[in-house]
Amino acid sequence: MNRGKITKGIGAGMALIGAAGFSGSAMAGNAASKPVKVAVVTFLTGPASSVFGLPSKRGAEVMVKAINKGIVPAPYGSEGFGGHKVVAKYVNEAGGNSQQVQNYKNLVEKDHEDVILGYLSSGSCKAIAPLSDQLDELTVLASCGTPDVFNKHHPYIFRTMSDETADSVAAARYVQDKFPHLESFTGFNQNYSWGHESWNQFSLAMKDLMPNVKKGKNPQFARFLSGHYSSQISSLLLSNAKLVQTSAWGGDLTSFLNQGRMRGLFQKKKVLMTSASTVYYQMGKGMPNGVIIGVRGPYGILGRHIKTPLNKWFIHEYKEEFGKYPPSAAYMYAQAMLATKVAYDKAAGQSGQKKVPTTKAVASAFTGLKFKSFTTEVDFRNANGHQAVTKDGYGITHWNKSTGRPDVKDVVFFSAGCVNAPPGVNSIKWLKEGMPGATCKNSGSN
Amino acid sequence: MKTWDPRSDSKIGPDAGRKQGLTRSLRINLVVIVAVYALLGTVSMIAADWLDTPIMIALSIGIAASGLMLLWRSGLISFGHGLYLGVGAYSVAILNQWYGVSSVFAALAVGGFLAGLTGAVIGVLIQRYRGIFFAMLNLAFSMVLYGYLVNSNMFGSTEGLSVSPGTLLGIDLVTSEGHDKRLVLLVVVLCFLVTIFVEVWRHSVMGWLGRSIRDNEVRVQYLGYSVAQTVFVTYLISAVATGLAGVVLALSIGQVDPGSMVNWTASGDLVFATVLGGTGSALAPVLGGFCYEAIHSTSMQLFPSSWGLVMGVAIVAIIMALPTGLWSVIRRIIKARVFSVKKVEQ
Amino acid sequence: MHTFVTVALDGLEFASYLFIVSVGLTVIFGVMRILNVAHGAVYGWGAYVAAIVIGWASAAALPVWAYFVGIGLTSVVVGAAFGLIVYFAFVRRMEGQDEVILLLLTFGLFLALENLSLLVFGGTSHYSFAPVMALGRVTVGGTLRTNYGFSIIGLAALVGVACWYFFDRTRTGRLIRVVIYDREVAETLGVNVNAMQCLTFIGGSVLAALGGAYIAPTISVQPGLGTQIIVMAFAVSVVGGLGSISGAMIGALIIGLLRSVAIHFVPSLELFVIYGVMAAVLLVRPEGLFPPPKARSI
Repeated sequence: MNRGKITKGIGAGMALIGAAGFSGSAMAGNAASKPVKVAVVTFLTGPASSVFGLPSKRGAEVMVKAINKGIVPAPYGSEGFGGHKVVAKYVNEAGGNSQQVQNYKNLVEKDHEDVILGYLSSGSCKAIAPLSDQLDELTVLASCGTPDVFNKHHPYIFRTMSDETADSVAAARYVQDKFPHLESFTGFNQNYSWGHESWNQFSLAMKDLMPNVKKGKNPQFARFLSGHYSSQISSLLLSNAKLVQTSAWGGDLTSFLNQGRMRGLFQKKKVLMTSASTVYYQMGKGMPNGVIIGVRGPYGILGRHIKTPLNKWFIHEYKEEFGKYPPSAAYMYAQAMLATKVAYDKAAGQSGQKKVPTTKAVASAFTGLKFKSFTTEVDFRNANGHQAVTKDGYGITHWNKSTGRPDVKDVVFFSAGCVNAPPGVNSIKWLKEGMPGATCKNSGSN
Repeated sequence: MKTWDPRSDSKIGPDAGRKQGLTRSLRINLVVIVAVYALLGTVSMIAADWLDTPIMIALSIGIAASGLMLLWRSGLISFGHGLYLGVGAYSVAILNQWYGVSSVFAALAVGGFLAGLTGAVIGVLIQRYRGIFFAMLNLAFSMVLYGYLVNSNMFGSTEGLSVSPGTLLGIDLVTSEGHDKRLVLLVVVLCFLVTIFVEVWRHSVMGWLGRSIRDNEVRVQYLGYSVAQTVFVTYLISAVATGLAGVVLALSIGQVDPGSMVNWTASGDLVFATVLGGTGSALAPVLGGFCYEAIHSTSMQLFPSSWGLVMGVAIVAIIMALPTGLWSVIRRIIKARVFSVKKVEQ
Repeated sequence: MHTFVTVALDGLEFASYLFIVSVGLTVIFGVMRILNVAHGAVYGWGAYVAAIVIGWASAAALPVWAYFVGIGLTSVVVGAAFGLIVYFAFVRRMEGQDEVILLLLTFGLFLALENLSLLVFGGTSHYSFAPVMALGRVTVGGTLRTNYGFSIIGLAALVGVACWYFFDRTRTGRLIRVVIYDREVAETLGVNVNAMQCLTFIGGSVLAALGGAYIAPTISVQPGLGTQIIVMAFAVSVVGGLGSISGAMIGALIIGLLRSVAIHFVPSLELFVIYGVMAAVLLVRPEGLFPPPKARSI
């Protein structure tokens, strides 16, 4: 008799869940003419959430609040997007590509969002790109790095920061600048697309800039999220290469740092980290001095000393609300939000109407846009006006005794034209051909 | 090899009229299946657009689970069928990206064929294993493919490859505005065909043998049938079905990657759907697929970090309280109705 | 020469860690014919709790030995708690069922427990590096190695010896071996089979928790630990022979050394090595390389 009850209970429970899952809330399509609905997609759960997801959400929140109140420093002080209130909704990027595809369709077809903004993972970006074309949805990519997104033209997709090749080129240029006598280098990257791509691009850039430097024969690719790097570190210690490049992030990077420090890796080798922003803040004094650090652009700790009024304001707002300095992920999403505002303002200004500008109008305003962001100029000059380029740079970690905080010294920024492919040229092809057309006016340390 | 056909048509004894009985039960089941799918097809055509992808995913999982259900019926469970999902899915992606072929027929044919070929090779190796070893060996093979895909830049590593919408006889299955009702209809039809196949199979000699193997292999051998062959053929069917499911998943989602299809966690999802549905009917796996997708979507939307917990609890609950799956609940309800009606008539 | 020593030590270190995690799994299978997938979740819980306990200990600036006491206590408490709960609430009720049904049950429990830890501890990484730093380092084979790494090898040896002593020299252990050979006969002889099974299950879970707790200081403890380790534990147990402790040792050594060789010379083969060896052994000798002797039933 117990069995029967349990059975019925399970059956009823499953039916309820099934019904709830498929009916969903019949939200009346809110294609209202007043607010602009923005869905912000980032990793709210999972290993990327604490280092990238949470800061990115916070960065977006700061901007949305300030934009709606109209208190962003000039010239962005108008209220809302083209005068219309911004209603932001935060969606989880976790769950794999099939989940992202479903989420995207739900956001457009069920929730009628006007803009989909965000995406940290290149896999997500590639998965939803065709949907943007099919559904004519304005999609602002805030962070994902793969250059492949713009292999095909997407009329409604815009990326508001440089793609990942800029990080590798800037790293190679920094090495060329500061360590011209380097003889060989090797790598320690996570065994998934991001790790493979980072290593490939860095190797290509090094081949272009320092052709006599030998590439390590056994670059390490550690299992993603495994944390057991004892053997890999042994291999690095035994290798002759003096420079170790790593694109590891989050918990894996922390494991690598802790284990490497114990075994003297940082005394024997020069380590270059391309994506270490939040980890540096988290580790504080635990981060060894003398590590070459990049944060995927002029953001986070590298951008902290760029004292534009907009940047000073942003850092102050973020620190007021969350008690910490904004890491680069916060900047990326804030920059995307700012870019979207600029585009909407431009479109509304041109149309002069009271109604929310159409997707087509905003896309047209976005194309080829140029504006001054927190720490850099953002110029949508690649991929037919859809891909932005910014400057990129690296620095050296240095614990600041007087302020008692993590800091960087010897920061060098390279101009946008120096680390990004010219318009119309595929980034990887550009690297393979020796980076023709690069224009380097060294922006110097700032 | 055959000495006694269980579908005897003798007129006396315990088997009297059995062949007639079987054919009749098969006929009834087929009619029910046609009715269910007609309803399903209609509902999916008029349902809201945002339901398209969940429906297609539910059906794909149902197709794969149909194959796995036949194995489960024989007492075998595989934790490595992500291998065939991957083979099917990557076939479509490769046809699409490298050869520019967008015909869905070609995708299904190539995907199904390659999955079958792989299944045949592996089937020969595993046909004599049972229980835990069967499960683990399949797991090992699928993880070998997973490791290869993650390391290969040619196949896109963890980001995988994208799949453009397919065409059928030149007609776009997904319009340029993103309306994919035609694709949904195709998936419904494919699932329908698979269900019909499974139902007919269940009533064939090998189908019956499959069920008997679970009870007592030695006795089946005594009857003169080859257990290894039966396992091999059942495995082959499950491989092809899962391969087709992989093709359809790739077309529905538009992106194939090893993490969501080939990793052992993906195989675990298939196992979940199979066990959830049960073995009582050819429709059971499809029910399992829909329940899986409903539970998955709901927990992802409401509490994204709880999906694993929900799935785990559901599996434990099913195994402990309802080992024959959800279908047995439906069957009990139907039987209660039918019998109560009969009583009234008498 | 340096390379040889380093590769060997790396392999030995990883093998020791694998052994500690896998020996519990293989013994539980030997005694109860259950492949306990939930073993991986207990490992994860052991790691999380240990990370937190060590965090407290280092914040309170306790002496070094307190860390290890903390790790030990964590393993016993977490292992015993999960062992008891899983055994009495689930495994006991499903006694005598098909081994595949039990496999699915433990798989469901694994998913539930693993994701429960995600909800309880959150998605952030937990660090507890203090014990590793406290033990210092030494140069061997041309490179600096942590003494903590050597202590893992020591711990594995200790576990191995303890298991041998228990099964060979103590009464309870020998009774458990009787249960492994023939459960029915053991029952008729008056052995309390249920108590033996319960004890085995708890012991195995404690070892799983110990594996997690001891490795926690060296890594950043993040969600998904259990998923990673369980397949490796399977591979080790299967290669050595399910139910055999010496088999687990040999399996761990083979996989640990091959992995180390792969990482030093062909890093991309790391994933293959583990699954390839597992598949190869299953194909050629499914009972494993050192299967426990099985009495023939007539």
